[in-house]
Amino acid sequence: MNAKRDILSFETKCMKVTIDYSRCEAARSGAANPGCGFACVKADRMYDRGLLRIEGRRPVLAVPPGDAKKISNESLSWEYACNQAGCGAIRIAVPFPGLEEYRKTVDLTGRRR
Amino acid sequence: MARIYEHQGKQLLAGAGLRVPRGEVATTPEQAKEIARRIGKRVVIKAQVWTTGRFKAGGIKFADTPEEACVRARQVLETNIKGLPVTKVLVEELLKVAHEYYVGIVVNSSVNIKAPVLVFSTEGGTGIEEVAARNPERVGKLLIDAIDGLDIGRVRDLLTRMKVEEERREELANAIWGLYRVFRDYDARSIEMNPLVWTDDGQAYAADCHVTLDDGSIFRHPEFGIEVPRDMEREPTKLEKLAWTHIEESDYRGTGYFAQMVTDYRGDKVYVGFHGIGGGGSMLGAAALINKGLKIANYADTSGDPPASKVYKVVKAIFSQPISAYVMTGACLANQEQWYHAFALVKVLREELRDRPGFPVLILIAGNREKEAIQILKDGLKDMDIRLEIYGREYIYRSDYIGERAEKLIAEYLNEERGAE
Repeated sequence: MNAKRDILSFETKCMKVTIDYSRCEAARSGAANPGCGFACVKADRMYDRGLLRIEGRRPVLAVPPGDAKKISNESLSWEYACNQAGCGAIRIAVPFPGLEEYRKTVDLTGRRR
Repeated sequence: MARIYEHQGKQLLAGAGLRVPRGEVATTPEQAKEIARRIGKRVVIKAQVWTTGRFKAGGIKFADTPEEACVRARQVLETNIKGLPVTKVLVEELLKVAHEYYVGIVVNSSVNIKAPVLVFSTEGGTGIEEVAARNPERVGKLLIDAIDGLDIGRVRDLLTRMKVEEERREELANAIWGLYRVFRDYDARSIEMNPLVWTDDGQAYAADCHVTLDDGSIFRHPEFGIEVPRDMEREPTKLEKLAWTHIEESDYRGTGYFAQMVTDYRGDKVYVGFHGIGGGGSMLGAAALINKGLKIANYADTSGDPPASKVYKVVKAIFSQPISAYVMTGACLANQEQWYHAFALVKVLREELRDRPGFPVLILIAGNREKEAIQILKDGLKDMDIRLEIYGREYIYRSDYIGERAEKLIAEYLNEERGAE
């Protein structure tokens, strides 16, 4: 938990997940039934492995951070659900070491004509 | 199946007690000259590339003197064999050949056999398939029990049955037995000596050696320095190494295969990023694109139920090439829920195509959770300014149509750009 920016961040096997509560519709409104309908938690139950739950009217990690690496099936569904129903508060990075550096050495434009 | 070079294979054979021609590897003509001088007799210069047909392609040349070896090595090192640059040559003594045999061992994975099979022919130096078709009586086989291994007595019996001259049998049997030990000890999938030479002075030599290794065993053999254990005719590219290291090697959850079909991009060509799910459907999709004259930049496969994070990385690798379209043909698979692919695709396409208006994206996705996957794609990409077409299971046998649509979308995309100028 990052106290300064009110952010929840945790890692799974290949992902780095961040929930920015300052953008999270549920956390901002404090409503029991926010406009997003806790879409990220619903997506988690449908597509992932129960890593998120609602606590204090916001999505929180439902398992110890160390267990997230073992449990998640890395569905990428939380970010999608938040983008679709919420305010884009969830960001998932999937690190691919060396790829950005490689891409700088290649003209990726492709033929356009 | 990963390959090793001829010179590496010969080192293994020599370690197992087989005779191999005296020789060394050179990367420059000058080194070749020095090696020829040390050998002190006629030499053969052989391109070290992972492909067959080297002689016809100018990859094998002969030299009488060290000076000529220098000239010939330069010629070979300037050769491009089947698109593969030659970076090293094997310079070795030229044998005085009395007779050429063939011997190979290959894992036959057909359901009725599932065991290594030893193939021996009294005619070597040419394709074994050709000999088997023309003169089947010259080819003999032994089935090797995977548990009990190969008894040298059975090899002797085979040579007798094949009417090999009696005075040669023991030495040839020992050579074949040595080949088997290399096959077994180094976890090979196939190994062959073609030819196994009988020299004028009555000795058996492994004049050539091809070895492919079981990909799953590469971790046991760091001595080969194989970075990407695959059946490839060339060294892996930087992108393939990255993909192997960060997608496949450390993550056993499903397949995340990525291989480049093009390594020297040309500015006047249109390349398609290709992504298949499952072998059969992927092949149909790839063939449909090729039949339309489209050039596939890569081959990728994400089957076996990989997580969305793994699919994401494969598609990122695909977009790390100069492509003008992305085509996915996802076969109708029962062992994975396709919505994970949909989540991955939405994420990558949103990242990659934000600034590429009109970019052609054609997705055929079929199988479990197909309807939901298609809805996720439609919803997730609805605000994207791209040429998006999504198809479901009713199109899995209509690969020609998928090819036609890809061709059309790409033509529109290219024309649009031309019109804008």
